[in-house]
Amino acid sequence: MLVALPVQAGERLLVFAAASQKDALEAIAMRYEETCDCKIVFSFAATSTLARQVEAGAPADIFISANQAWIDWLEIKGKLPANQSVMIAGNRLVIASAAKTKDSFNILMRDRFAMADPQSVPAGIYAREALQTMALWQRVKSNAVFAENVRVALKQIERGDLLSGITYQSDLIGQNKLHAHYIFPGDVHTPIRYLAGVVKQGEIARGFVDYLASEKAQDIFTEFGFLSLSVVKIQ
Amino acid sequence: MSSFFSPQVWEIVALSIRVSLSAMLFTLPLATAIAYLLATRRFRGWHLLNALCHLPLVMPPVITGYLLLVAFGPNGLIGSVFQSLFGFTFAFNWTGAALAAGVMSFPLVMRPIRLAFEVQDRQVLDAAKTLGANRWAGFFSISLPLALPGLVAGGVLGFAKALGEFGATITLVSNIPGETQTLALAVYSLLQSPSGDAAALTLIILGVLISFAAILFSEIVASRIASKR
Repeated sequence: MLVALPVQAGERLLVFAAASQKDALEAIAMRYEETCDCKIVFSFAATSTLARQVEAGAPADIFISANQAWIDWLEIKGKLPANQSVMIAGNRLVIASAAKTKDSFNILMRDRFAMADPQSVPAGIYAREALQTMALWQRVKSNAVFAENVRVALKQIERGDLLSGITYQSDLIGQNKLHAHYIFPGDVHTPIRYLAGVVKQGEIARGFVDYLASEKAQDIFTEFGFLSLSVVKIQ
Repeated sequence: MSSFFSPQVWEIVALSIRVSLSAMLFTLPLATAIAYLLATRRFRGWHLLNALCHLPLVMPPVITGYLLLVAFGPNGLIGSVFQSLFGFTFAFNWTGAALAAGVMSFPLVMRPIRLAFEVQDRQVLDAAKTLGANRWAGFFSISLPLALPGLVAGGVLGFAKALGEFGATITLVSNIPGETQTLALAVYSLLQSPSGDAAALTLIILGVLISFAAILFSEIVASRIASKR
């Protein structure tokens, strides 16, 4: 009889990643660890915070960004090799609500709604951009309640403090109270893309980044409400 | 994770306590020295030093954290000196978390100690001097013991503040489990996922219990000391 001995975790991979991808990335890492002699450790925080830490010399092997801008910034700073970062997933904006009647984006005009701060938080910047493109911003902005991040906005809707709010589609996974009241078309705002770059060159780091784009990992991203690369590329 | 005694919960609590205690180990003597200086002397730059000490209290924690990152990071002015002299780095390990917690709690530690020095009767010290005590003996045998309740209050308040520190910590040392992920950072991580609420609640309860026990302990010690007089 064979006894499965616990595999001695080999190389440790430190991944700095956007907090919004926590559940999906942990699920993918767990799968990946079965195939490699490695242990993947995540540090989750806001993309901007992590990017500045990488710039300051943080010992991250991989940096996963919630947008292109911070990848470009690190390339300029010489912390990421130019044009080597890989797109790993996308996302959509939705109006999340528990309301039964579906009246599309009109719900934003009816009552106060939650959204991330459009001054600084990416989700808020996308949301304002979408509403501006749709010529709705001037009409609804006085109803907007700004939160310091999307999760806070989500909690406000979940508790019923606010009727609706603009969040990512992926935020609704695992939610039983809220549904996507309205899904914003992908062309009314800058595409929401997640990218991974190798900070400290190494075979295992490269391997994990490639794995993130693989079919197996893409299925997990889809399961957690993100857009897989195949969908992103059609858009 | 949701169990109170799971290894992950234990690791987070142990790390948080280690970080907070280390922060107090360095902050307490420094805060005492500066509090004594501010309480007993008037000098040029007194207001400047006093304001500087209170800065972490009023500045947004993210700014304090960012300034510490710029100064103490591997490429930072102070960080690179430490690295080359002692081969020691604050960045992205638990010592950095302790640094952030220490700096953030400094004003809270210093204030009660300063007050404790300020209310002391100068005549006692003068009497000691006439009996031959020099400045150091006067400090260690009279001023410091008299200020003990202030030290206890400041130390425990600082410990509790260090335990709950979030903004400066995540900005300086990131959020690495087992290394820099303290209680507050772990709660933040858990709240990022819809399934994390129950586990977060465990840590929140533990956080409240530890803070409450610390404050209770300091109040009891302070009143014991006061009643002995």
